[in-house]
Amino acid sequence: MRKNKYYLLIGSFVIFFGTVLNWGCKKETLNDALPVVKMVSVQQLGTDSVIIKGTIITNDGNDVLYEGFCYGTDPVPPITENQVLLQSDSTNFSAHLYMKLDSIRYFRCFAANSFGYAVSVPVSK
Amino acid sequence: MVKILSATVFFLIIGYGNALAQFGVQVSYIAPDGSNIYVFKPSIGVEIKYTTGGLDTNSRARFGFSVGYYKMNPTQDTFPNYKVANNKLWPGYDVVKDYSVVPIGAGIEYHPFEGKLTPYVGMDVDFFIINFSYHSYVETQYNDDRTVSDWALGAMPKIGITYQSGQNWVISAGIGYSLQIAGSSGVNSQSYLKPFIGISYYFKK
Repeated sequence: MRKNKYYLLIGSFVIFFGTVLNWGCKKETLNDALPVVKMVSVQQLGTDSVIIKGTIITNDGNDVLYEGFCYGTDPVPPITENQVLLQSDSTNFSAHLYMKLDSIRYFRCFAANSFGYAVSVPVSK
Repeated sequence: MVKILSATVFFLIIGYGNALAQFGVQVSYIAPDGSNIYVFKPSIGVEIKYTTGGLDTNSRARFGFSVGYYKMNPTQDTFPNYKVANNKLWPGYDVVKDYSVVPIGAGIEYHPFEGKLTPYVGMDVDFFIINFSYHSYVETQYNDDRTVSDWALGAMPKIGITYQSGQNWVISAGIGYSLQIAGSSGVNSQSYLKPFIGISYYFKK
């Protein structure tokens, strides 16, 4: 009986510290909760319009609330510059813009969930 | 919050004289899960605990009441934030200044065996009072210091062992998982893994 109790004690401590160690190795960061987005394409239509497409690569199970694009002549355009805001509920999203591509423009897409927002790497056209 | 804390401590102290009971301190490791896993680092919590029943009564079911405190530090200096206004997403950030929690709990422990060293299974129900202060900035929208008082209700199944040392001391250790079941504080903000260790003094009548 006494021996059984010591086994019980040792077993309990193994479970206790095993669980703590396992949990301690679980390193989540906020980036894991944010969506990851990517510009798919910028396609010129005629002389005065483009279709831009973006996609959500991962969202870690968190609902995406907003998607959108921004663009400008700055190589890293701020999210507020020429912003197009969408609520498409879709992994792939796009927008049709009327603009003349008379100089190099940089395009980024973004997505937002309840934890924050994330912006893609810019592509130029 | 100070009034609630003081009242709870007062009733715990009054309560220990009414029965054979243990009155002790418990230190726990709070490892957040749920939405807080992204925002807060694990933390150390302290609780004052009153447990009914006594060592010489061999009562198998013991009831416990506790009040505690823990404070959590953020995983990052700033967290991205935004607001949608006038059909535009405005970016910003939040800076966490303080996140402190007072859990007030009641629970039951069942000890299937008698003796100095006994395992137990149990269940705690905790009411959490949460004080959250942060600085919030969103371009063209706001740039404020904010303080929010939230609440949450959680249930925590647990397992552990107790060891009686001498005539009056009881050492306990165990592990539980707190699962938020209601609250105003966001999705599962009070869901966490909680290994704990405690020491209690048994007051004889």
